[in-house]
Amino acid sequence: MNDREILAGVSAVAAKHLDWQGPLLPEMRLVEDLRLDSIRLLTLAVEVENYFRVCLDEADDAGLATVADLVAAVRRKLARESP
Amino acid sequence: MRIAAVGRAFPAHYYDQETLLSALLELWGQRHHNLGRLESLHKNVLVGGRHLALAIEDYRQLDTWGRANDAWIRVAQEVGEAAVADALDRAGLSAEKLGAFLFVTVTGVATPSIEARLINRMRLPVNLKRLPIFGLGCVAGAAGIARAADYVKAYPDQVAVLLSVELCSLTLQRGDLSIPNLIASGLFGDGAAAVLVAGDEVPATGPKILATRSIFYPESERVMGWDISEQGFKIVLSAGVPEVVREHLREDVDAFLADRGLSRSDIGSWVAHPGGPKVLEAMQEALELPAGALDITWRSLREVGNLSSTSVLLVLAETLENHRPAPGTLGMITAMGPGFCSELVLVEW
Repeated sequence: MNDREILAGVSAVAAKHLDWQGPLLPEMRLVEDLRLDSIRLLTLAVEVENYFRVCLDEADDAGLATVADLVAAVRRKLARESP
Repeated sequence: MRIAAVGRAFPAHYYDQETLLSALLELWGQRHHNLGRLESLHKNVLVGGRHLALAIEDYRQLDTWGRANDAWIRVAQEVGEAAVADALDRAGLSAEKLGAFLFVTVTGVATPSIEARLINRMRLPVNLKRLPIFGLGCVAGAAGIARAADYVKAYPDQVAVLLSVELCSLTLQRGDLSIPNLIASGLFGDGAAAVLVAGDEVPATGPKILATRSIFYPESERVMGWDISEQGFKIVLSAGVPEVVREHLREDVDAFLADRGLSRSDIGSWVAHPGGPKVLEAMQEALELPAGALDITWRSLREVGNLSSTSVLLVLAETLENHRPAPGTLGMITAMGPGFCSELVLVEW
């Protein structure tokens, strides 16, 4: 799965679970631009896990500053978990 | 005006956090890919166990809001009666002394309300002034004491009873997999507490109520509350509660105390609602409380969880019974809840 496909998945999750309207761009910051507080940030992480069937490292949550960071984290997990 | 006694009552079913987590993992395991998240959320709330209104296996049958609320009405009367009887017994007061009955809850609905049903069950005076209050949420324990104090100020020869019953487990939305609901499933517990507030002309030995204050924070409706779905109460919980504490509580407490020529350093006892670890940490920081000032609150959170409006009354009961401050010590009873708002009660022990 390439980054564009992962971004589409993350966008679908944000629309469904965070009521995010409009496009989601890689450079968008999760806290400042998407205005996610800690509960909504966790909602995004958990629903991205459910969507892609991956387990992100909880310790890494704090390091997710932008949409691109989240896409990269999913890409790494998918690469590690693929046969 | 004095707090004459505080009674407590819990449902018979008590489960440690691991048992509750196992049951929820079974329920939600199919839907959530990373179950470690649920375990982390449950550990982070620092709750060791909780009382439940029903045996854990009986929750499966509550497949509609009506069935859950029927269970709420039944158990609310049982624990409500036990809490009021406990308070009357501790105060050595006859029910004939009661002039008003305030009932607070946010976890179920009933008409006639629970205090009306208890008048029948307990053969309480038929001239009791009834005041059922729904919707104040976690603040209702402290606010209930304040409203009871308002009543006995007007009728100094009477006693007002405040009953809080919260059966949070009966509000759990099994189909709601949102993070606020997952947090709530690890945090909230069930129980009841009753407070007798005596007017100045009624002999009583508990802490004297010196002053109360309500503070409302405009435009904060989505910080906490309920949405109502077809399945019942659906929790609204934002990460904003600790922020409200940090932004407002110190200023509000200081202003309240300054009006009586006091400051925070004059307060020797804090009875606080155990909202959750982040809220308590924010409170300790904002009010610059000395180490150990909230120990009883933290312990209550650990032992029985957050019981919404009942919780601050449990902390008050424990303080009164086992950690009573020296006579003359000034104390604060504090809680916050949906609105968003705070209630402050200044007492002299």
